[in-house]
Amino acid sequence: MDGQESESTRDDLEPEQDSYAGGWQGDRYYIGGIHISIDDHPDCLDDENADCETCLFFTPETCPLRMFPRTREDIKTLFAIHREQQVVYRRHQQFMIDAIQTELEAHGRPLHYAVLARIVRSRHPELGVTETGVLNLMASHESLFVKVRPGVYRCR
Amino acid sequence: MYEHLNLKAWPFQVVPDEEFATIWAGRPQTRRQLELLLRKMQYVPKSGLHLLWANFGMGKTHTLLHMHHLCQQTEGRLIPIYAVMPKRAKGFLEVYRAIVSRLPYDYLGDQLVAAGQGWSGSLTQHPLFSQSPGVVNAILSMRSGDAEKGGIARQWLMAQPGLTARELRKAGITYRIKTPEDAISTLSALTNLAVHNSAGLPKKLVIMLDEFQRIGELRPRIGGEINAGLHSYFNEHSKGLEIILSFSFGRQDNVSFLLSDELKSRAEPQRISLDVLSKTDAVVFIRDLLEQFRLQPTDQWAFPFSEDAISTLVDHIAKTKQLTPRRLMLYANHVLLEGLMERDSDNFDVITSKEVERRLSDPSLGTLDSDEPSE
Repeated sequence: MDGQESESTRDDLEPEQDSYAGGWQGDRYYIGGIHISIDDHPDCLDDENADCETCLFFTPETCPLRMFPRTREDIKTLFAIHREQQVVYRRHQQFMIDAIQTELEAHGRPLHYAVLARIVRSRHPELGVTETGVLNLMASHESLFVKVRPGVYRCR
Repeated sequence: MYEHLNLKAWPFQVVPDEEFATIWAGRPQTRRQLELLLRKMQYVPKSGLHLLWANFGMGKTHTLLHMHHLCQQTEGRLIPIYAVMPKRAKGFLEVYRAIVSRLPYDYLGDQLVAAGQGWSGSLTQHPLFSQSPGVVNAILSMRSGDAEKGGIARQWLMAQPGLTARELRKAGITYRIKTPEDAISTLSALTNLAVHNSAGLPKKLVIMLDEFQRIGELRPRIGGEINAGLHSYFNEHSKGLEIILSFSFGRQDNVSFLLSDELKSRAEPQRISLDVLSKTDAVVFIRDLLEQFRLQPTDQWAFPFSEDAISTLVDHIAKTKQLTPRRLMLYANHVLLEGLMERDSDNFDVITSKEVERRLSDPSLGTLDSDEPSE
């Protein structure tokens, strides 16, 4: 009975093509009825020799990653691109934080974020900072910036 | 009191005041710049906008007060006003109040009388007051000797709320100063009156607005309104007005981010800058300072310190901190006072380099003295 059920399930998922229709939802990928992400995904996306029996996401018999190797490769590629983007984004964020901190420290007095954004934009045009970007970065890095009044910050 | 030190008064003062501002020590180049600016202001009638930048503790306020003192020596040709940019201003009206509260009303009263002597009609019709005729009755009320009327007039001029229509009528005023435009008109009428020249001598109103860097802490809309207000006021007076805006922060070129393009384009190209002192500047500063307090000329310029003691004092500060006039005076004051307390006033031994080292050896000394500006 079990064998028949699993057989029929496998039949249902038997690919007519060699890829499986999934899709990105925000920063997660939806496949086989569940979400996987860069931080939370089956081990086989990182390690070719991962043991399918210990997988917390799919059973080996119905695993779409196992059945559709091309989809698995696509997801791996997408995750790699995403990771690279994250690194670039984080590096860019760090450059912006450094620039904001340097300018605020050199000024030596509290500044309104709009004035600070003007200074940073003028001296570091490559960073493409915006007023809200500057405000959000300062507001989210309390270890570096002190809010003196609403919208006005100084270096810690 | 300080005869045994050959000093006519105590030379080390860290809080700027008008009396101490008559003194200028060190920075010969800045002194020359100020003197030149003073001469230029008197030489040409055209108005000018000047920018003064200073690093922290470099004597910006002292410089402005010294400028104020120099203006007062010009026999009325330059009428100086020292005002401070309000903290957390909500608009141009507060800047207006800061300026108007420092105007010399006795002098303006005299000017009004002089203007009236050459005018046959009602003074409120005089072209000087075309933008704000209420100024005439306000100044007359302040001059009347009636305390209530004078108080109302002052409150009106300061654009303070709360005056009833009945009170306004009492002072002969028919409108209120409520908007930046009203404030600019009133300030313009007051400026016209201040520089009105009945005796043939050209006069200028010199407005020194200290702590203008505070505009960098304001919301862009408010900062823009203040910049626009100053720009409009300056534009109203092609002659007879000098505005000095002072800024204090770490980077001189940040000045341009705090001013509107209109103000920047009107500012004189040469700025007055007060940056950190070098060791040589610091020694010259103390030498000049002591010299100006001397009772008798002396060969021992550093007395009551030895020359080496001054160098040691300067080196000690320079090791850990920036050399600023305030800090030099703070440490010299400490050493001299401590030395005085231990000595017999009849027999004052010079303070030596070793004594300076001993008195400054406490590592906790000056830990609270940082280059951070107070809010």
